[in-house]
Amino acid sequence: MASLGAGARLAAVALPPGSGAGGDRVVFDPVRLRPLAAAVRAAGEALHSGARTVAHALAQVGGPAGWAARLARLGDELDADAAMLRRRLALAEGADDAGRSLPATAVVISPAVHRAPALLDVRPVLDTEAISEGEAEAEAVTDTARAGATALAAGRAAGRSLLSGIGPAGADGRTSRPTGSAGHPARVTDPRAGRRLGSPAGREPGGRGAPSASPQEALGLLGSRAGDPDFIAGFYDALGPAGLAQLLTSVSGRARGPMVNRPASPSGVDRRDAEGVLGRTFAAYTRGRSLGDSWLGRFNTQGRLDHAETVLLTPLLAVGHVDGALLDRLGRLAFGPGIGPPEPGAPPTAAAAPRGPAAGRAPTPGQVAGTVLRATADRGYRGALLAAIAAEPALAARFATRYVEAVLGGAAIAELGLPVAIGLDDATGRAWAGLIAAAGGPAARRADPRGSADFVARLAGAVNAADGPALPLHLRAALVPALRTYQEEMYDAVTAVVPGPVSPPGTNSAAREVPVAAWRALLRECLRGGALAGLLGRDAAAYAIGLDERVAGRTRGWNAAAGGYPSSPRALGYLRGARAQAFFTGALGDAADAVLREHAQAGSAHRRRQTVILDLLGTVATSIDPTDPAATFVHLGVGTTVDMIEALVRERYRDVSTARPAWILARLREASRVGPQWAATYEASARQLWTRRAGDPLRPITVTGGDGRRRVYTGDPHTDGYITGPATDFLDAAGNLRPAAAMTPAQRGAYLAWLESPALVANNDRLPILAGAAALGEARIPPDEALRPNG
Amino acid sequence: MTIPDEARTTAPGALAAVARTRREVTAALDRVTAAGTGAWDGRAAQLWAGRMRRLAAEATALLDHCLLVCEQARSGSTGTSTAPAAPPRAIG
Repeated sequence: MASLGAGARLAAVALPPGSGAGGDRVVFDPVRLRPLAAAVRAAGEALHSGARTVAHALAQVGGPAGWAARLARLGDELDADAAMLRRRLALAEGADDAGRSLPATAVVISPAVHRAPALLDVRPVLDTEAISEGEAEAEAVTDTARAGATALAAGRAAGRSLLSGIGPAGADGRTSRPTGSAGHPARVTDPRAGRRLGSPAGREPGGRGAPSASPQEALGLLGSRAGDPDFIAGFYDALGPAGLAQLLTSVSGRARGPMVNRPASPSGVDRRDAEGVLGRTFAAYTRGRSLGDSWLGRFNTQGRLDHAETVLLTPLLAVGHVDGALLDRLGRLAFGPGIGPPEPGAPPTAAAAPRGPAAGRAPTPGQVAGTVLRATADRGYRGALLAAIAAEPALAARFATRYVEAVLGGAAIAELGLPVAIGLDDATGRAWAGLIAAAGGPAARRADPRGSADFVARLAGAVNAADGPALPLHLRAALVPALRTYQEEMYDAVTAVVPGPVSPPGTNSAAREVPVAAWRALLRECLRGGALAGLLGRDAAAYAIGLDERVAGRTRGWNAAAGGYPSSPRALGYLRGARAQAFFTGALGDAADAVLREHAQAGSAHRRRQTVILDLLGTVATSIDPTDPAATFVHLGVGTTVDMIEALVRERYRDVSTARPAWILARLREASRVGPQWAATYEASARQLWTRRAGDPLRPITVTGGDGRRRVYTGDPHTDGYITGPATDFLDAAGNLRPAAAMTPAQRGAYLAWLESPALVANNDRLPILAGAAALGEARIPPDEALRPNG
Repeated sequence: MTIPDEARTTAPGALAAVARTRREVTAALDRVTAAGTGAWDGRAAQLWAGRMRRLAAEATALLDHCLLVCEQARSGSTGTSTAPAAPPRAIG
């Protein structure tokens, strides 16, 4: 670490003027600091875990008890360091958002990494012992601390200059207090803080002597220091929540209080500019401070302790990336706690560790009383808040999960203040649709894998339970990202030889436990909107192609060598690919049926829309050949968007016959029945092979794996390594196969792997017949009742 | 992470657990050092790096002491060795 400095991403940039920091600079690379913070955190966890192990081990052998405690203390230090680094990073990103003229990946943080009172909510990183080891080090620390304190004080002075008429225990009184610990940030306790803004009166009580400034001057100064987290922290600390509420009211030109219709006094600032500066800097502030219920309770212009005028935040939410924990808190205030999960609001920084500390505690009843009505009464605020949450990938899925049923179901939506049927023109409905789309997207999955999987599982379950709900087109289109993000999971479940949840090694995802019926309902409801149907069709074809390629790659040459396969080793993969295609076409047929029913029942205006959607589904349907994924992939274009559908509806101002699309879809429905029963037939055949093994032994199959090693599969699940213990033992005490439905997910996973193993595939004499029937378009096989209960 | 299994730990088991812990902690601290290279610069960063080195040395020394105690206990113990971990599942 001592020889740092030559990295291409690093940039040594002079400090902002007026920080008083001399030449002591801290420069870092945010791209590299993120893994560093994660590594420090992981090391802290390793030490804590190690301390527990050591305590137990030493107790067994009679060793000294104090060593484990020392290890745990070292772990505490690393935890504090990780928190400090994360806070630095968050503030830097806020500064980056503020658009300073810096290289894209380099951010200058003004000095005072250590002992900066504005930044370290945690206890100081350097202890006295470490400092005393070198005079130079101590001097450096003092310098950095002094520089940070200077910026902080400057920020406070700027914040105080906006306030006047506050009491002796007001905002100014806190400057002499120590910074609070994590989770208990230093706070202004006087509700009167900042009640009058911009008044021309000179000095504050308490002798600090900050001259008053106009909002224009103060905001100008704040804008010029927008990249300095210490200054920002000082500014908002001094302003306090009540002062900020006053300032935002003044900037927006609203009048608060009993006579709400009187015009506000002109603040002399450009509203758009002011909201831009405040939005960027406030976002950085929220990332450095944990703004809890106490802060929110004082965020009002009435001097109350239990009232949050959250609607004032509306313009700020659109500008900067406000901290996820605060967004979660605001969301709960606006929309209620929702349904589950049991552990509320993990902060976005804890997303990597799915069960992080519950920093975002749910507000208790009585706290911030009366805010729900006020917040939910403003449609603009709701839309801005939902959009801000949707833009926070680590929060979107976790947040949306709690309200999935409420959004889809009419009654709960009404309670939320949403219309029962979300109209296309309703901004809040679109905001919810945007949030659901973001929650199902790949960014949310990357940022919060567990939350994302939980979301898609809840979404599929809710759609399935709603049984064909009447959803607006935007909401149907918002289901597309979840289906596309989890297409592997969906088609793996659909094409499995045996239905039911499995737990293959290394995966423990709720998305793997979604029943096929729920996937089918989700796909059907999505297709009923018509938008992006072609894209989803391409996904089915792409899955089939990918599966075929994987199987072909793995089984190359397996039927060429002596002792290998007597037939094609790819037949099972082919059947699974065809099943994926048939599943999609089946869902497409279901969707078309539903649209046709609506068409028959609806009036002419509604019929025009249904006709256009049917036409689109018919176009997708003609491109699909269940037995030829590659050709399907070529034929299918990309999807049609909701806006395009609406345009089509407007253009075709006449009733169009549904005869042609209906005929196409009827043929497709017939085609989708190609071989869906093969899975049950294959499994039954495999079971018979196993039952007859004593009198008619399986032929051992020799294959060459990807590593070039030859391996013989005998068909015995013990010998072949599929049963490794009781957890994966899918045989009963007599050695017979248990019923698949009675197996545990782990046993079912092992059973599936065994069914697809070379010995079982090669010895299954039904497989060539099944594959041939599928290739010939054999439609006489009855539909798969297990997967399609309604035929 | 290592989960202590209270019912089965013996002196050899304790030695194995501490050895595993030492490996994990050392690897985690090594990753911190690797990730820190080039991540930030300045005097404060250098101070922090020095402090990390001291912290790593202290943790390693502590775990070495623990290992020594466990080894001594094992050499005087007749406890049975714990079973090796189950082999990974082979699924084709």
